[in-house]
Parts: sequence; structure tokens; C-alpha cells
Amino acid sequence: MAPGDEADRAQLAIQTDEQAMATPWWFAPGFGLSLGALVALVRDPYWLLIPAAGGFIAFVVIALQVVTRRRGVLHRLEAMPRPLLFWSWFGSLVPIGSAALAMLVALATGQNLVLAVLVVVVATGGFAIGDHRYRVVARRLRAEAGMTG
Amino acid sequence: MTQIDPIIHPPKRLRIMAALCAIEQVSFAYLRDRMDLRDADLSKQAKALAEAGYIAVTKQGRGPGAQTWFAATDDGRQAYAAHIEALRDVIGT
Repeated sequence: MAPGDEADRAQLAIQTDEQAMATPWWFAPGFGLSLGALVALVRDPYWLLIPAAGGFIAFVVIALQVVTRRRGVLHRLEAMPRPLLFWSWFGSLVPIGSAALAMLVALATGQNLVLAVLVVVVATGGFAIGDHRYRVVARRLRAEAGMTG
Repeated sequence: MTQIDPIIHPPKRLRIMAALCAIEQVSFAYLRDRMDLRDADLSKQAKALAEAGYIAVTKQGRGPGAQTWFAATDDGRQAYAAHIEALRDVIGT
């Protein structure tokens, strides 16, 4: 095998390693619940949204730090193979997009609690699907490259 | 034609740079286990790469839970890309 190819395999190995993509079980529901809480607060008094947004950002930052320490790896989006990048974005944008849309609808309709429950389900499910598909694609890439384990 | 980089060329350092250029940062323990290196060996190789300015070494946390993390620098990424290109030139691929 050429040295350059071996280097490419070393890169793919770390990008698709099981430990390096392990996500704790609580991350998806925690992410969904924190987004749902934001949507639930789209009502008078609106100033409550400011500390709630701060709490959401703090949750995401701390949770990502915990996940990164457990994995031992912080992935680099620019270097990620396209199929992995797609599912990585899917797992982030579906929850955040659904919450943003729900907040706009809540402003117009006042149905913040119903929409909050919907966002918890969609955000948790969206992240879980993205995470699951990421692993499936990563295993497929490893198999195609002839890597075992 | 780009030149073979003598700092990156040894196989262990080449594997370390390949891994680091694929990600943002990696912990000492993860790299040691995945590369099947001893602590002293990884420290030695990392020191050589850090002295060349190719990787950055940071400590996170305190006490027994403290972790050492490695990240490729911009110079390191450029040097790694040039080295791989030089290797491909040499073998004609």
C-alpha cells in the first residue's frame, strides 16, 4: 500500500472509530428537552427567553465538553467524508430548525405548549436518527475500506 | 516538486499527523491506545512534532482527571499535505 493511501486509511480510521462517535444516551433527550423548554417560554413575559437561551447554550457547551472528553476526539467538519458530514448536519439542523420554526408559529398562534411538546419529539428523534445514520454510514465506509473491528 | 519532510517522515509521526489532520483535537490516551504506542514513545514523537510547530499540546483539567490533548497547527496541516504530495510524487501515483 502506498504511504499516502495508508495515511488516508489512518484518517478514515479515526473518523469512523466506534469510541470516537459514541454519544451518551442522555444527549438526544437533553437536547430535545432544552429546545422544547425554549419554545414553551415563547409567551409573555418574553424576557424569560433571555436566561432560557443562556441556559440552552450552557447545556450544549457543557454537554459537548463531556461528550468530547469521553470520546477522546473532537471531530473536524472540514475533513469529514461527505456522507458523514450530511448526517452530522442532519442531527443538528433538524432539531434547531424545528425549534426555530415552532418559535415563529408560537408567536403567531400562542400555542407554545403544544408546539414545545412537538419540538421535544422532533428534536430528540431528529438527533437520534442523525446519530444512528452517522454510525451506519461510518461502519459502511470502514467495511468498504477493508477495515475490521 | 515538494520535499519529503524529515520531521513527519518516520512512520509513527506520519500516523500521528494523519490522525491529527483528520480531526480538531485528540486526547493523549485515545491516540496512545489507537496507535498502540507506549506513553514514553508517544510523548517523544509528540515533542518532536510540537518543537517543529506542527502540533499544539494543551492540558485540560486538574489533578488525576487532567487530560493532555493534541491538535495539528496550520503549519502542521500544510506540512503534512506537502509531505503526502511529495510521497505520491516519489512513488508516481
